[in-house]
Amino acid sequence: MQKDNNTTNLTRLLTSSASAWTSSRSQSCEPGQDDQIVLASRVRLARNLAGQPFPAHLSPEIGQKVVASLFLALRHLEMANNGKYILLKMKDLTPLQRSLLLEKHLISRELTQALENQAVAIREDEAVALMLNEEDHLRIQCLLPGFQPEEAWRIASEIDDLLEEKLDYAFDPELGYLTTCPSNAGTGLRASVLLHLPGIILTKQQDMLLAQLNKVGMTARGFYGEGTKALGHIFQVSNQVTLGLSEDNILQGLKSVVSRLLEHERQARSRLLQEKGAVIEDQVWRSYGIMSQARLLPGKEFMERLSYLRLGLDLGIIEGIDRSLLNRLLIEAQPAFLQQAKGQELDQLERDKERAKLANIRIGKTQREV
Amino acid sequence: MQCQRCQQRPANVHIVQVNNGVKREEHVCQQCAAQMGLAAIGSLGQSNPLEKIFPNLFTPEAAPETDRACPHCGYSCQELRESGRLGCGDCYQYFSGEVQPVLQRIHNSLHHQGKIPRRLGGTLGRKRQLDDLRNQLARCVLDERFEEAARLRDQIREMEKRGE
Repeated sequence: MQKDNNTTNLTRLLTSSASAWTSSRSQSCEPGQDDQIVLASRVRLARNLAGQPFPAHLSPEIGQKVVASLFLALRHLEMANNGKYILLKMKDLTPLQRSLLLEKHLISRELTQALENQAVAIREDEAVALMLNEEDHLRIQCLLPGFQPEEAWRIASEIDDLLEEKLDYAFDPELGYLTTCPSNAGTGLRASVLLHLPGIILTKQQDMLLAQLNKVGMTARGFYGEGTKALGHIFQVSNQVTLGLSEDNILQGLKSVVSRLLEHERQARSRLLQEKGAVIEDQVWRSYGIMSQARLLPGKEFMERLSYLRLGLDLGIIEGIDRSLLNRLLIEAQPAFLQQAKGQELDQLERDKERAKLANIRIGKTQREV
Repeated sequence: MQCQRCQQRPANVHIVQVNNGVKREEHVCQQCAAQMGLAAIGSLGQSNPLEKIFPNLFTPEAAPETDRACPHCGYSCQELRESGRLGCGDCYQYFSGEVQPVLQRIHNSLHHQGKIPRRLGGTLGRKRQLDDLRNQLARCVLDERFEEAARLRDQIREMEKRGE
């Protein structure tokens, strides 16, 4: 929260599509390893202050009191050498800036409403985001690349411990951490992984697998969370149960479910290669051609083509594309990022045009003016 | 039965007078009873004086349940039912009848097994430790191991003193 670095940090935060989770751990991995399929791991902890109404019922005066004690705890976090944080009040940001943070997965949709007393503190490495007065007073998020939910939990829990030295949390010995929505009570822990599952989807097994996930207390959502579609064959799988299990049990449960999903995905991929190898190869190179040369790319098609390129890399059909570049493209091709790059508001056709230019340059390495 | 005075309206007031051991009964209508200066409790359309003293005894039921509100944050039971969300930490206690079935349904549990804030960790940990010692003490007494029991008793007293 230092003043001198703040402007440069903010500029980087709002212009660069590179974030902690997009930097690929999987660069050096052999084909078939988990990190090719698991793009990112996230842990979120929900916390509230004891004796204060939850955010939706805060009066302006009490709201300020809550924010003041949260800010104090954040300063304590920095003093404890937990890295530098950039503190942003949502009201001070433009709608475009808020959308950029949402597209980078650094804030939730709730925070884009920019209500009174809503803020976010983002650690400089962008692996940690602390959301203030979202659905709960405090949401601690840790988002890392690849398949490492336990490491994300370790980081989030450490921050939780440090903040708790200055905050009195709403906690019940029987029910655990108390949250606005009963679905988060107990541990307040939501652990999720972002999965690229083209094999399962192309072999039409998704409905069956999603039903099975629900049976074991997990849910699957799209790339941008609740209510969003699984664009680009990307799913977010997370735990549903937060009470009655220890954090460790929850993480182990998620890990074992994801391991089984990965196994299914690998089997589906090899079946696809055996039965429809020529079709898959064609789709990968066709996608390369479209990404390199198309002049208009709607979001949905872009995500699908990007998925085939990633699959082509995993299967050794295509080479020479940087994986972290693919992750960053996921973000750069979103509406707010396209507008930010162009420096003006864009209608849908203009966005498709800019998205195509971006793909031409990044994938086709063609020199085109963006 | 007709009013014995006016012989017109139906009699719905029963008057019993006892004078010098002589009992006299009369059946009259409300109007005639009023003319006689009699006002029977609850029968003449006048307010019941007891209602003013104990109003709640006379209302058929207490206020409907949906009007209940959390004494800490003012969140009402109806809001809770509509939104499925709570207003503050205290709501979990106050609306436990509504919330616990929901928690049970979502999580299949009502017992937190995870992390405990360090601040409370001390108190909760101490409580668990004390329960443990008391159990041990009871077992020692049953087994007539009195020396060990005395030692445990002192340990418990010591812990309780420190707790205060």
